[in-house]
Amino acid sequence: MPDALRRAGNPLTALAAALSLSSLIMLAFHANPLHALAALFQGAFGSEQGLAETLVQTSALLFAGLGVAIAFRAGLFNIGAEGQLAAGALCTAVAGAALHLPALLEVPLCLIAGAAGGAVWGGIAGFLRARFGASEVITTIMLNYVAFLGSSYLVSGPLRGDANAPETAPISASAVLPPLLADTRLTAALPIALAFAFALAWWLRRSVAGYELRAVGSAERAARYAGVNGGRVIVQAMALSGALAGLAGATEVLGLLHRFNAGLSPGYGFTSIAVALLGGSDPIGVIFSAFFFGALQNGALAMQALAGVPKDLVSVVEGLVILFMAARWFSHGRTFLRRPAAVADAP
Amino acid sequence: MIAGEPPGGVVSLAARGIIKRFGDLVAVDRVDFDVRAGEVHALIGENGAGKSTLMSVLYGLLQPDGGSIALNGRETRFSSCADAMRAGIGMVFQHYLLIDRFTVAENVLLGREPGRAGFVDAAAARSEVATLAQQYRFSLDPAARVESLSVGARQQVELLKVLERNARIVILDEPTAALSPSEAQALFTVVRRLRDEDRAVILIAHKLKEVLALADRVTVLRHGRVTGTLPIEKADANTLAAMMVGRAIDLDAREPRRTSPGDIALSVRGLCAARDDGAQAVRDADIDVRAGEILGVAGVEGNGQLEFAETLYGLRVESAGSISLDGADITAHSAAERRAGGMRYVPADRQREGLVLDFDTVENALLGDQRRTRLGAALNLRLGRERADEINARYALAGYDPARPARAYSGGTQQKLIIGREMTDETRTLICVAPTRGIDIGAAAIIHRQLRALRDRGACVVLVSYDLDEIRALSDRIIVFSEGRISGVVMPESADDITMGNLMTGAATNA
Repeated sequence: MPDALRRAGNPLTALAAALSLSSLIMLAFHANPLHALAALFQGAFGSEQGLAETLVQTSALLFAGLGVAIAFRAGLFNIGAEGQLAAGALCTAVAGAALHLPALLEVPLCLIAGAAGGAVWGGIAGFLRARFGASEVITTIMLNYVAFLGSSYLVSGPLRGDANAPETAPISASAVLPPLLADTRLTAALPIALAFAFALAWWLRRSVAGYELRAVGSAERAARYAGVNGGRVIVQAMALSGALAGLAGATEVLGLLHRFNAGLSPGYGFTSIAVALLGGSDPIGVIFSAFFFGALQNGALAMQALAGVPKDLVSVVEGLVILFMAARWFSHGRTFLRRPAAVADAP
Repeated sequence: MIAGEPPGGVVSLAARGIIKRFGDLVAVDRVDFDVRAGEVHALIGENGAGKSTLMSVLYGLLQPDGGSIALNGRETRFSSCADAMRAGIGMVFQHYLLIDRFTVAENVLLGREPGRAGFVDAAAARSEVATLAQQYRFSLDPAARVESLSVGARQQVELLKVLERNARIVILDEPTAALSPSEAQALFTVVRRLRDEDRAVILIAHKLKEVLALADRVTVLRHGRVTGTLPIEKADANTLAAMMVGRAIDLDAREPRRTSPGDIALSVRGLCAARDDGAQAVRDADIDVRAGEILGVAGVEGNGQLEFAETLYGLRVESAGSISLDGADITAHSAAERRAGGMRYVPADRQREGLVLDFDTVENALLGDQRRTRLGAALNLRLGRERADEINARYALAGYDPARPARAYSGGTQQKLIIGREMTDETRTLICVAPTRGIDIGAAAIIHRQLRALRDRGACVVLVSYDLDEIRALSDRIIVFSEGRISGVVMPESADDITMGNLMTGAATNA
């Protein structure tokens, strides 16, 4: 698989660069990077509890990361995963509280509700892009605020289900996602997310719809000449991207919180941008990068406690990964110093 | 093969035994090439023959793996194109390197703007460029932004960049590839003038006619080696073509058609369509095309032919009029629906419109038919593979590998891939735009043969081309576009330069 290796090569370079720079920052603050790394490792993998918690984070990051990755493949930069996650989570919480069906029926329905909520939220940005040419970078950021403030209003007003806190009513017992490992917070969200990753990998590579999505993302004009309706693909891609982010929110509600409140996500939607970039926007790659960032986030507390390195340094690593990967993503095909055509054409 | 007798004059630039390898491939193999002050030396050869590589070496963009370069008799080495520029070499690339949002003057003087203390003296820059433009009779407004200029005018800006540095050796890479006939004539005047100013001009070219009209000597490259250097008096088109391709090619072949046209297939009535910026591009076009007929669409580029072709294919919404195919009204059909009805399209810009460069060969072989051939939700990759193999069998794609991305093929091979995909037994109607632009004569001959074969199988072909020779060689009937209108319908035997020129410029109509 030399091709897969080549594709992974650049993310790994970005990762190495991000980690080296972070180490330099630690050294500047007189912390030992090796100690910090050991502590982080201990926190993330050192115990059954630790590993389970890493996988809990991985599940949410995987769903949202897949969403951002799909958008990237269609040539779209979805910064709105966090808002789509909130929209999905709220829909799931409402459905879970309202329905009282057998678990085999209720859990899928609640997941679908979450996916639908995220799909609508992402689809709005897709529609605005396809119909009016509004940049999805701007509209998804703005829709994030609508989602945050809108859901805050709803849970403190019309949808408030708890007298003491601004939260929805708890979901029914039949909507709860089954645990995977006793005495941990790990639920069936992880295998579901993995199944989605493999399904999407197939879909992108082998399905007609995935082919058209990649064609639009890589050569919009050529796709149009091939009879592809580019606008429709953009709306579909953003809706699918939002649906996956919505599932991240849905599984948080069904598996962990059992209700919706505004503090539901510790920023999974934003971290998922780094996850998608590091994963090379390839669903299988995203599995690995989601696991990496899950471990990083989970191990951060141990790093702070054991090595005295502030846990916020993890955000620095995240930021550096985005920086190094984005530098490549944005310069793709339009580097400032383009090689002259004569050389580019040479065999 | 044949040694060229050098005309008198100082040797300006001489390359001896140049070798350039890319991995295992020897792109340029022990090539001798020289150009003298006061001559135009043409360099011709098929795609991949090594012309561009050789020029990149002379211009300092590539370092040779062997051989030497001498400038006015003194051995030199250019470690970058800045070195070459300082030594008086200027190059105009096929793809212009201009900043669209800058003015003509800003582009010409980029990096050497007159002024002081970090401020540009814009008035001085404009007058400097205006003076230079006047010398060469370019009607360029130094204050105009490059994005508002035609292709021909952009090339003049590139020329000014070279002349402003007073380059003594000027390299022109396929300068007429994107020009209209009148723009090309204007360029020839400039080239002759550069020669008369005792500059040395290297002309990389595809069109043999231009070489014969313009050059003093011609060197032919084939597979990285020099097949021969001839003084132009000893060269003719058939000899040069044979030297390029390695076998005889009959350039004048106008094969008699084997079948006569059938019923009307494509019928266009009162068609109007707009350009992307909203301006009207096609006005009231009325034309019928028969099955088994090639309709040539001639005209100076930008007179509505492209929009006409795109509207026929369903990519552009007609603002008025109707299109019917085999008697059925298809005006409201999308491109995908027209494809399902057997219509195919060869776009003008093969890299941006004809292929997804990141897709592999198999995926590209399915482009446009991905929905019609699908297996449930899945792509029919097996069929894609069969088609790719078939295209390779018919067109001999250089470096063919089903998993190879389209980006990795040469321009000519990319075009063969598109042509092979769009021209199949299923093709009932073909709309094609500039199918051989920038393609070497060997590949162009194959494409022409396939177009005739398609016509003989009873397909209806609309051929938009900016190359009059191509139009005349292939068409059964010719229409000419001028300012969006069909200004004339001409039979190929009466399509002489004067008739066509008058129709193209709108000086006459016979529609």
